[in-house]
Amino acid sequence: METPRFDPGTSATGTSGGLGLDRRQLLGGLAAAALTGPSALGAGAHLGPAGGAPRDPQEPEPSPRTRRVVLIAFAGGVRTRETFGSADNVPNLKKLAQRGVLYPRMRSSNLGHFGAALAMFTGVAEQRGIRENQRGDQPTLFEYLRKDLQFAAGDVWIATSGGAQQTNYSYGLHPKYGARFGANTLDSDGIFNAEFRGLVEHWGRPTRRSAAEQAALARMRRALRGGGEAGAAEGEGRGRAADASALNDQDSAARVEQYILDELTRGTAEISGPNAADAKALRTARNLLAVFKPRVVAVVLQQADAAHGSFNAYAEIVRRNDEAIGELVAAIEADRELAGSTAIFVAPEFGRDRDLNSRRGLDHGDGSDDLNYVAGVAVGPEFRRGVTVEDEVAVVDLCPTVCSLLGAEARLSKGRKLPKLLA
Amino acid sequence: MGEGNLSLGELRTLSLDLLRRPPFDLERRKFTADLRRSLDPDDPGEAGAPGDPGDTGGSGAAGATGAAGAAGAAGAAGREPRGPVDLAGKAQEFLRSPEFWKQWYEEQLYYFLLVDNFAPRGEDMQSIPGELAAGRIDVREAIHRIALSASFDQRNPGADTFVTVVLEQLAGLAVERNRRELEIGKSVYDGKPGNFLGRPGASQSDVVKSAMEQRSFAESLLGREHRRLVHAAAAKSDLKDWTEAFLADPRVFPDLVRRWIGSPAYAARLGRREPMDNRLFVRALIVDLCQREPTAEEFSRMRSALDGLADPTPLRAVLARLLVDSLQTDPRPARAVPDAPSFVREQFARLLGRAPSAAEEQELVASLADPASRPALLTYALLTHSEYQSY
Repeated sequence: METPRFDPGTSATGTSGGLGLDRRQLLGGLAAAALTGPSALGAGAHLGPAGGAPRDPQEPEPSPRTRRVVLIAFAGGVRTRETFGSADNVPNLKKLAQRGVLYPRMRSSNLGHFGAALAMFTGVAEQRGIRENQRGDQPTLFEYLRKDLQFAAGDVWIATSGGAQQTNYSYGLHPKYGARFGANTLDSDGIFNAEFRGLVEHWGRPTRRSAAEQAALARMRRALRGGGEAGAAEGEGRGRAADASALNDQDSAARVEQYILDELTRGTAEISGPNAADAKALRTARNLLAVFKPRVVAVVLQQADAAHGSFNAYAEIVRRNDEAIGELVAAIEADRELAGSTAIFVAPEFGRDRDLNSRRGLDHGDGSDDLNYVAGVAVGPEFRRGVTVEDEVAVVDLCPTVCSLLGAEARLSKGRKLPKLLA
Repeated sequence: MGEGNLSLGELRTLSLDLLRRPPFDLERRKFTADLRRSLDPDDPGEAGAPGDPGDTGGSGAAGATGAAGAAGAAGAAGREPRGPVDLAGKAQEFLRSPEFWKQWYEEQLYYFLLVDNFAPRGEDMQSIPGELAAGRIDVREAIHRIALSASFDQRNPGADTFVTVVLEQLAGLAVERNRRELEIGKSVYDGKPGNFLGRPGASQSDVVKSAMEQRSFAESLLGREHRRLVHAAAAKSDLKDWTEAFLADPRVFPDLVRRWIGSPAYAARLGRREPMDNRLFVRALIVDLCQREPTAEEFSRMRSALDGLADPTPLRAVLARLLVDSLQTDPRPARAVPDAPSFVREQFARLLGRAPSAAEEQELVASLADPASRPALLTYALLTHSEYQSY
């Protein structure tokens, strides 16, 4: 079978998209960008400098201009045929490739959606159960970054669309890493939906506490055993089991608390359509970027897996997700701080079968190249532009690449840094 | 307290483990009265006797003792027949209740991710807890019915996903070590005759049946249930014995649970705290604050939202605050609470299942004298305290 090839065409030219918008303006701008449809990612926009030949390895390391990374797991099982192999399914991804590096031979493994997407974050390919709701044994790139670079909890986020199982991407069980270095994870569809918002509205907004009430509350908390700090309490002398509350300290927990309340009123809950959960994850990611200016935001999509039952539904989700990715990129470019400092990586966790199943859908289990190779794209201020790297790489390479880019080391990863990436 | 009797904290833990909710106020008061009567047969055991932390009139947001919501709890505790106050007796009482089976069923649905849009709705599914409680079916048959439901099929569309899930979640087998069985199972699923897991079949239901006839099905079910209820892995030799007994007659399951609760492993569990999962937190929050169980809608929405966070602590605090503020049952200043020490003790008994230490009580009573303080503030402080997040 011939692997689809992509001709990146001519490099885009253009200027920085930095417009100096504040958060309100950015959010307003996002709405406007949404109206422009699939071509939200304008050809003139760019996330990095023009560049041609790869950097000589003897040269000194470039000054780190990549301060932020957005890593999109275009997951749910997406073949290259429906992305870079199609004429017009993914115009925004193609524009990204024109301004960055395309890896059309990115090896993946059919480890189940959960295991394969987790491998993108750990750099280690391990089979996981399809419904397994357990953390992995290996540290994730979020843990490497937070531990090595002292990133705060608010610096590292994951927006997901696949429910409770995907919160396990936050951190693994490795004794030297774990919850205290994990990423804040939001399953957008689980939280930002009309039903939950309705429940919250039914209860009413919380009353604002006066300073005196806050002080009284603080005094009560101090009076309780352990002072009320997460992880500090004991009851009846019984030890407390470790849990995920180690992830946020009180300050960051309070900020997340406020963010959730605000986000419920921003319109994310109203998003509908066949890719609604994925679109919410992408919308959440761009709002997180606007509010927290985090160092890393990962997005895990999932709805392309509708392919099991319908090829057409799958193709439509691929198209809509490309459109939503275009909106996210447009938002980044519209922000002066983000535009010149953000690298973006997009790759599926694995592909799908070569042939349709009996329901005219696509499963994932035939061992074909369509399943085992996907196309990934990387664009950023330090990356080459308009280049297709034909070398075989792997989705597990994303973890060490992202870590290295920001200055951390993915010590236990089995991947290697993506080759021929830097300008 | 007599030897072998449960403490209030242990009652709360046992109730949360088996009924997936804390005791209602009336149940807790009746337990306290029964406890007193077990120690002193001459004690009338009426709720409200001096020293009963459950008889302080409960005020504040958590003071809404909605008797109607107490779901069968005794009305006038002291006049009721005396109930068990020891672990074995209380566990037996809980295990005989339809409520235990309702929660067992809900936990199985969650295990198979048959929730929200995939929650089974047919009458034959809704009747499962009742049939289990009445002994008309056993847990094996209940799981078989779940796996044959339309919801299970819709949740796991297509041969590849369906057979993978059946192998992993029913048969307890790792797919990467059973690739050949996966391929055979997919073929059987599609209606072609084949020998899946050593048994002939030619349909989707045969795939399920073959998986459920595996020894590994019984072993993984019992191991999973032991871990869920006892919060510890079962010893291999024990698991082997239980599996033999289950394979001989699956109706043995309630007896096995009774033995687990009476085991040293469960005694050790009562000595330590375990984190509350989100489902348990939602049920505990609503029961503790509203003295009723959450509606299906409340439960589903809150659980889905909390499950969407790697660290649900911030959203748990949001939910607690929204609920406490919305109840507004007692907006009076804390200074208006007539008996602040009793109020503090009542809140501790209800929300944490223990008495406050002398230092806690002293400082909290002093805090309540603050002009800015409200009873609901103490409730909120306890609900967002890390101790409330475990049990």
